[in-house]
Amino acid sequence: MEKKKKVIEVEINKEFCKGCSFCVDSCPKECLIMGEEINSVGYNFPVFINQEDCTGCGACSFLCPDIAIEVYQVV
Amino acid sequence: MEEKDSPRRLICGRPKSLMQAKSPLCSGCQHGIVGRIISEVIDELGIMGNVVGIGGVGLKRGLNEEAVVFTIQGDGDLAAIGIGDLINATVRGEKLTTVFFNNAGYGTTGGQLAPTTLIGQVTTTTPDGRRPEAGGFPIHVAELMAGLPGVVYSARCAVNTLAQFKRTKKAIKTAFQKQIDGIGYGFVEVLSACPPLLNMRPTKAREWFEKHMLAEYPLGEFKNVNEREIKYQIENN
Ligand code: SF4
Ligand code: SF4
Ligand code: SF4
Repeated sequence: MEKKKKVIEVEINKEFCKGCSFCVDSCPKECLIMGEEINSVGYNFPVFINQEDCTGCGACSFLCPDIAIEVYQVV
Repeated sequence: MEEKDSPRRLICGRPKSLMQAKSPLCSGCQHGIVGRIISEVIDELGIMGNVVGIGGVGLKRGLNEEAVVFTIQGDGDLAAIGIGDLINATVRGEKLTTVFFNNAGYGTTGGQLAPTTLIGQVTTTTPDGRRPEAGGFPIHVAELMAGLPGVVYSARCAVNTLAQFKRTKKAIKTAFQKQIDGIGYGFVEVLSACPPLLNMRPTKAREWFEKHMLAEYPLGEFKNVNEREIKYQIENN
């Protein structure tokens, strides 16, 4: 039987984000990029673009200085 | 923030004891990450409601015996004007935990030289870079603390990578646990880069950190003992 792949969801609180891009730099799977859109105070925030490769390691969340990222496993 | 009826499980997010609010810190200030780690440790040790955090210069005395007391200090206050207080707290045999933010300068007050500033580092008070003849030498506080008998734990950590994050969390948890167990003083220095101090964008500041801060300040545990050391004792009998 094929092992079911973990499905991970990464949620970005765009209003908490200050656009430092540490999450993008720390993702080992290149799942995040900085987006074009800006939040209400003028910062670009990241976009989760690669759910397929995301392992749910949590690096993006743990290394965000503004605690703007939550990582979920779909069960 | 876990929703009861949702078919998904939170792997990581905001710790319970950390306020659901926007951080007041600058973009790319890693102090936010350390605050999160402290909150995660408080949650995991189940000491929320019995913990007292003190920021800034000096150490308060006469607190509830049972409470877990920790201080958060920056290199401006701790390594400069506060160093006497810090050493004397360990000399008095206080059982506290200090989390020391070392970002190699006075970030919030205008980017001046601090005792921890690197040789050659440009600050607003050393526009040509810190020179030993005029500005002295960077102070290594974690190693200094490890040499004091009242201190039972001393480590230097960083939060630039996931592995470093995990080690920092382990260090802060160990220091808190030693205080809870009544063993002695715990000290955890956490290095970070302050983008405004360096006059760099956050990503650049992080690169600067990797190249220079880690070269000056080695990471690791400098002391981890389960009893305070008495080097010599006069026997009276
Ligand atoms: S959880 Fe890990 S793999 Fe997934 S986006 Fe975050 S850093 Fe990348
Ligand atoms: S690490 Fe946090 S604050 Fe920085 S860009 Fe990513 S989400 Fe925004
Ligand atoms: S000035 Fe430096 S230390 Fe202070 S909040 Fe900004 S980045 Fe953090």
